[in-house]
Amino acid sequence: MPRGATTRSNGRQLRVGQRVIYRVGKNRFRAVIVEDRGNIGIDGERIFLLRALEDGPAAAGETFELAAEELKPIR
Amino acid sequence: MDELSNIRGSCLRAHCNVGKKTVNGRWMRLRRRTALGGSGPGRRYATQQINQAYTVLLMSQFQRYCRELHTEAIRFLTSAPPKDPRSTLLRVRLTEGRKLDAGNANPSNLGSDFARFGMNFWDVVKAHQRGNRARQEKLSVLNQWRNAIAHQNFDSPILSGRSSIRLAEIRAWRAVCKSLAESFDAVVRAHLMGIIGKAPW
Repeated sequence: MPRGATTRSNGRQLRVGQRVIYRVGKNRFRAVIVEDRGNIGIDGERIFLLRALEDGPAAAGETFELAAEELKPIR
Repeated sequence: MDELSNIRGSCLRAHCNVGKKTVNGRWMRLRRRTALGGSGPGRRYATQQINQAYTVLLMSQFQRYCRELHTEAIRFLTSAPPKDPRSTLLRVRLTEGRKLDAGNANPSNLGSDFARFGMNFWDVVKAHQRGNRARQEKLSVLNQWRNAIAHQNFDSPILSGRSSIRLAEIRAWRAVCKSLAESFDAVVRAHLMGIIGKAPW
């Protein structure tokens, strides 16, 4: 990403294999990053392929995509 | 340390000796398939290996294109209220278990994934350009070849007993992929415009 361009929240901290949480309303769900798809979203959003670690909007074990700004790493 | 290496070496040699006939047979078959040089007419480099690699590469790039088109369409569909939890929910559900993430970009998987947007994908694609019906069939054959090459199993009846592939065929498939990619882009764009009332790209 060029300097000065939109800085998406935690995209730089995220990497493949990392566990993250994503939120839907007040609920939080755990997932693991399986692939970095790159900046292919609108305005260069960084997109990750994730695998759900628990049942939620996606069933446990299923893969889905979200943008970096929707994810928070689990420390 | 040396002793350990010797033990490992002797185990390996013993293992090779057990199946020596099979290993030798397989190795000779592989050598015949990949042999370079020779005194007869024709090229002196591994044309068939290059053609096979070209086929797999073409298919993988087409798959990536289709997957990224799908992702971009979802991001556009769900971009209106960015912090709305309904957007996140929709993004997850539209990409959950997507076939293009695990399988090939064959007509069946493409139809299934793009149907999530509420479109009869192949009907619309076929209506978009007259030649797309034939292109769909060619994409199917290309997928069969890709699988045959990737798994080194050329038994599929669609391949009609062939195990070699010509550059002209791959060039024709590349043209098929290019035309289909243009049609996919146009029909997905038109469909999204119908839903949200403005051009996504």
